[in-house]
Parts: sequence; structure tokens; C-alpha cells
Amino acid sequence: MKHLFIRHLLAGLLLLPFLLKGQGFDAAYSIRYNTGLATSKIEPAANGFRQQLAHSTALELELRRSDHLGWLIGFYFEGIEIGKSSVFVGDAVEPFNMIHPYSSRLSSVYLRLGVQYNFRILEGDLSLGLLAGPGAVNYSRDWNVLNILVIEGNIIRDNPAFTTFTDESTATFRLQAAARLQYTYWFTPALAFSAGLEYNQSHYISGGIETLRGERYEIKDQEFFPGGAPGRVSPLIYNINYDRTTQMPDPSPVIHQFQFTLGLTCRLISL
Amino acid sequence: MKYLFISLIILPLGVFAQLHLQISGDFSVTFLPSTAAGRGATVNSTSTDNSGVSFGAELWFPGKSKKYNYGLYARYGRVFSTRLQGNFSGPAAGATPESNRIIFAQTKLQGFDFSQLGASAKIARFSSPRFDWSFQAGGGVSFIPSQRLHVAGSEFHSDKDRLQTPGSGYEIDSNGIRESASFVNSITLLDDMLLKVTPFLEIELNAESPGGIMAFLSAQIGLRPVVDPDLYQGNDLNGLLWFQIRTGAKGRLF
Repeated sequence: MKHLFIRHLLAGLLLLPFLLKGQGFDAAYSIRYNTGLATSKIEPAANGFRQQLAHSTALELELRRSDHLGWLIGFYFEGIEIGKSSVFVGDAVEPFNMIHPYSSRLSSVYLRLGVQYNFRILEGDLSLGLLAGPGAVNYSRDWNVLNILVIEGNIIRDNPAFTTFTDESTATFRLQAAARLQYTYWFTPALAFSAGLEYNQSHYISGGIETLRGERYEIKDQEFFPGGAPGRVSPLIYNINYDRTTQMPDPSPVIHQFQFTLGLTCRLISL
Repeated sequence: MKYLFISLIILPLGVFAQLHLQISGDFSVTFLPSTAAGRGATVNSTSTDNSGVSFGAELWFPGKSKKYNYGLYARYGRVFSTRLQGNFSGPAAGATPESNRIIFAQTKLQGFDFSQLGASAKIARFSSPRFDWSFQAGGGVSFIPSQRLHVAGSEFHSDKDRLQTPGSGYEIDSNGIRESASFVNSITLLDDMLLKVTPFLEIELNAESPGGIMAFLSAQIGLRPVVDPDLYQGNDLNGLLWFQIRTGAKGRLF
């Protein structure tokens, strides 16, 4: 259902130039890939240090009536992946009774509208752009859960191992604003590559639930119950039992990002 | 002005006026070896239709026929997610015949970056009213220097009713899991989940417009395992080879 919704949005964006036919616009589609150079921490510090990687893809339409001013509309799909792979100097013991018990991901889709001013330099455009728009964000956490079959103190299963339980939140809603500087080199009249830098920040609007610790992501589908819930075939299969409290991230802080962006742009005929 | 700009940016290539330089961008799906569906109460999919992106540059050399049939390329890409995982277990530190203590660990490959160097040749050309089509074949080497992992671990004491925080540090490699002499309260994978260097073969179908813009579809297959099977012993590893499908666009700079 979620994918169907996104496909409808993308189809609408692809059809938009045809609705604007006769208005005298030049239209260009860009596919962008952004990789995070610096991103705000998503996981609560109380859960211990984790590594993070942010990247995003975007489909963007630029409409121009003049050489300099372009109007932007696009969809921006972002993923921030969080995990932990190795030892760090000064690593603290985490508040769990195992090491690195989960990896997680913050997935977002934003509809962004904006404007950019283009300076013609050599065979390309140096563009300064401002964009903003609302988005929906979903947080998911993959728990590494160990299943062991024990009867009378003896481990019975031949090959006990971890399996993955995924908790997923309902959507929260945010507003993102971005500023971008990029150079687009047109090596034919219809096709260009671009590279640049983008800063964006995302503000919480609504969603999640109020808890004693404050607002947080509400779990929609919970497969795993940290805090000592019995195993599914209790008492013979032991899942991970947590001695201490695990924390979910708080969605309310502003998420800041600084990104490097690459793009491929295809210009349509004038509308 | 255009050639002046290009010469400034790509100075070393400026002297090769007879070369064609192309830039490419694409979306890819990479099929990796996968571990079997997860064990336990919930079956988690470990199928690996991993999406990604890559960007590249190609140099094409004129042959005797002046048809630019031979090329060299370099590309850099990122695979966003995978479901490759490995499970490990062994005697925990301090285990005795009387105290059955076992350390369990799981490593997951979350994603990785890769770069490729290769050569290609156009082995067939044909024309249609709007496009020049070419079919090319070649090969190269993939380098995977950067792998994003998640490693989890816990001890189990058969005489206790719950899992225990490991009291020692542990290291994992193709010889299994063992206590580390250099750190405590953590766990790390010493080997790579994917091998750093893998040769591959590639075929590609290209459609070029008169303006030098190309759309392409390509497929590549690894020529040797992209994983070390010893690292996945007991994990029901399905397949060993790398297989990637890419589609995207190229443009000729000059």
C-alpha cells in the first residue's frame, strides 16, 4: 500500500509537465543521489554509541521561464541507517544484557517545493536553491533475538542462532527545509550531470505518542518485547531478556544534515 | 569554450584528443549470496535484491576503423541494504565442563560501497531510425573497501535462566569466535563479509542518440565467490557469486 501511494505520487510528478503545456516553461527532470557528510544522531545516547549512515534519492522537476529563475518540485526519499560493528575506544557497556542488540533505520519521504537561481558559467549552471516541504517518517528497529531450546538445563537445539524481529513505528510528520549549491554541466542540450552540497533540517510536526520520557515514536507493529517478556514457547526457548530499560528515539529534535549531492538531469522540449 | 573547460577539469586527458570520454549514472540491483531464512519463531527474509546507485567515467579508443570500439572504465557505487548475515557460536570465556557457557554472535551486512575498473569492447552494432545500437562485452575487477556491518553478541549459561552480558571481548573470523586479548565488553568481526577483490564479466546493450546521449542495460557476474564460505559455515549459505543488473544513462563529453 505504501509503495502504491509513492508510485502514484511519482506518476503525478511525471505527468505534471503535460498539464502545464502551453505555459511556455522549459522543463527538466533530475534524479539525485545524496550522501550524508554529517547527520544529527538519531538513537538515544543512553542506548550507547552507534554508527550512522544517511543517504537519499530524489526525483525533481525544474520549470523555467527565464534563463535564471527555476521553480522546483520533487520527491525526496531518505534513509538513515544505524548499526554497530566494532570496538570503540572508551566504549561503555550498553544498557542491555547483550552487546549491540539491535540495528535501526529512519525512513522518510518528503514532497519538496522550491526555487533556484541559476548563474550561467561556461557550459553549465551554478545554482543556488532553497526548498521546503512536508514529509512522513517511519522508524524501524531490527532486534537480534537469540532462540535457544533448553530442557532441564541442557541446550537441545543443534544449532541455536539469532533471528530478527522487526519493530516498526507509525508515521510521524515533519517539515524539511533545505539550501543547496550545485553546478550542473550540460554536455549536450538535453543531458547534464550535476554535483553540489546541500544543507537541510527537518522539524517534527506531529505523530508519535506521549510517554513519561516525552514524545517518542509509537510502535505500530511490535514483534519483540524488550524488558523481559517471555519467549514465544516459554519457558523452553529463551529470547533476549533485558535487565534494564531500552529507549526509543525521540522524534521531536531537529534533524540537521549536510550532504554531498550528485545528479543526472534530462531537459524536455519547451512546453 | 567547452573544450577549454573540459581540458581544465580533466587535464591529463586533454592530450588525448582522439579519445571519447563518457560519464554515466545508473540504478542497480545486486544479487549477493544470501543466508537461509532466519531460524526461530519469525522467519525473516534474507533474499537479496539490493538496490543501489553508481557513477562512472569511460574512455573509448578509436580502432583502425575509427569506430571507437574499445573502452576502459571506472565506476563507484553504493548498495543500500543487504540481508547477508552470519551466525557464530563457541565456548565463552571461563567455560568449564561443569559450567556450560556459550558465546553467540550474529553479523549482518547492512550495505557497502564498491568501485570497479574494467575494459569493454563493442562486438556488434546495428542502427534504427532514431538510435545507434551496440552490444558490448568485457570484464573487470570489483573492489569493496567499505562494508557497513552490525554485530550482536551474547553469552548463555545453561544453568541460568537468562542471557548474560559477555564479561570478555570476542573476535570473529573464518576460524570461528574466540576471546579477544585486546578489549572487553564488545565483539568485532575481523574478516570482511564480502571479499575485497572480485573479478567479473559484463555484457551491455547501448542505445545512442545522435546527440551522444545513451541509455543502457547491463549485467555482470562474478568469476569467483564474493564471500569466504568458511565464514558462513553452518549458516546454509545460498550461492557464492555476485550478480548485478544496471540501467542508466551516459553522455559523451567529447
